[in-house]
Amino acid sequence: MLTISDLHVGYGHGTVLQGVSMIVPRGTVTALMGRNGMGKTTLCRALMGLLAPSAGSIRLDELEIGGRPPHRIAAAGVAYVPQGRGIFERFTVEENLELGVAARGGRVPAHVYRWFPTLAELRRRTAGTLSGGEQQALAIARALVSEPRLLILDEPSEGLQPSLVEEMGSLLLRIVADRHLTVFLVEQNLALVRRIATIAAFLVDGRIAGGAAARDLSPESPVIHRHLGL
Amino acid sequence: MDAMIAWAPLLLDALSFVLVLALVSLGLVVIFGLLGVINLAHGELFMLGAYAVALAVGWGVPFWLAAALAALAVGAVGWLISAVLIERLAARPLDTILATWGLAIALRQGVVLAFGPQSRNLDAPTDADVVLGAISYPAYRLYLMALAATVLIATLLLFARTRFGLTARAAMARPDMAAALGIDVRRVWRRTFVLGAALAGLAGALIAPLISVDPYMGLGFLVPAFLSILVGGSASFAGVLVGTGIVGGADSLLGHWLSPLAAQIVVFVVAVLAIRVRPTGLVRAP
Repeated sequence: MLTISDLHVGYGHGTVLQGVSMIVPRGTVTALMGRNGMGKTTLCRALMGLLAPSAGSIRLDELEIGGRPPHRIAAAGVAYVPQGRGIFERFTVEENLELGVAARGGRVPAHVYRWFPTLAELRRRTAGTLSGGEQQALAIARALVSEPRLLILDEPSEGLQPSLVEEMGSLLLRIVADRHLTVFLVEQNLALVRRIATIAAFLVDGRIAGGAAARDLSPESPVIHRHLGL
Repeated sequence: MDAMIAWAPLLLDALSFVLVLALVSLGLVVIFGLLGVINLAHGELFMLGAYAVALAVGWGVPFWLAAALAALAVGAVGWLISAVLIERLAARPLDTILATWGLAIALRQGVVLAFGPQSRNLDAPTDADVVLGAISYPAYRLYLMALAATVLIATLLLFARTRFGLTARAAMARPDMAAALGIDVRRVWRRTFVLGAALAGLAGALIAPLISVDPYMGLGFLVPAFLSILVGGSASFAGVLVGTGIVGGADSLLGHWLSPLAAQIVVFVVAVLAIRVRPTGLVRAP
């Protein structure tokens, strides 16, 4: 589905990503783990077109999307839930969701409200007044209303209590199965990665430093020690 | 009762000035809010609207059609300015100030070259008076007020209620997130700039029969429009309207008793005081 080859990305001076190569197979949840400052968010932003790569390629199936503007990448079927959620705080819940379909027209599909019934009740509320968990649900729902093929999630568990993370994990699994969705999950929460991901790759200093089957990972695994320092 | 009769025309004059000024301020504030661009050529877009309507009427086009065409023509000029100048300087506020300042000079001198420095007068489409109770008042000014108010409300509804408005507000709040949701932020910028330019052009066209049309008329509206935004606050449309009401109303009313210059000085002092008391504007963000 997504093939990243030898990707280099930097801000001004210095390169953050120094030759990242990885594959995200169709219909799977593939996790990317790593400590803060290793370039995980930079990679997400480059995938979404918010940062231009200086070298390398990003292919979505056969389509080269590296360096294209974000709205074209979105139109190709990529949706993004950024770290910190990127909610429009002053807009209502409904307006936030509508923005997810604004570009291609049409209405918010009903099944999104079925996945997130609380959002249906909160439709008219200002998004900034929602709880952290509700905001995360809104960010994911907003990404899903455009019926993407690839969903990029940057640290979705951040700031959520464990029970909410578990609930989000179950829902994501259900949606992936329902919609044949492919997910690129950037996460430091091992429990969530083990629960929903098939493969986990590790990003260290702007390069992929290895991978493992997600279900084999545990807090005691040597790779986790080495790359996450848990 | 006599006092009412004496006051009513002054208040109506002030209201018509405020409504036209609000069109200018609103254009300025949507461009600033969305693109972060302080458009110093906005007064010249207003001036172009006045020239466009004067030219078209000279060619025999009926006034109201000419005013609509003037708004469209200035919108087209705005499209060009956005594509050639503004979008290339996005996220460089100081450069856009210099560039639009330079553009203002070029447009002014271009008009001087094409039409000469002298001022011209345009006849209103009607010189009838309407009797309102005890006073009679020029019908054209009443039409102007109705039209300006309608356009203001339509613009507010465009931003508050339509999908274009939603995407524009999103692009204003979080341009990166809006782009990641598939919104072509650059296209939204351009449309907004065109809209702001067209509003200025329409304002210039509507005011043309009431003032003398000359290449330097833009500044007389740009300065109070900026003051209005500073006084009212740029965070909301309500702020723009409140600021325009105070600045435009004071300017127009004081001009009846003081010299225009003295009126402007008073307005400036009041504006400075208001900004000192409430630096972010009288109307806070919602």
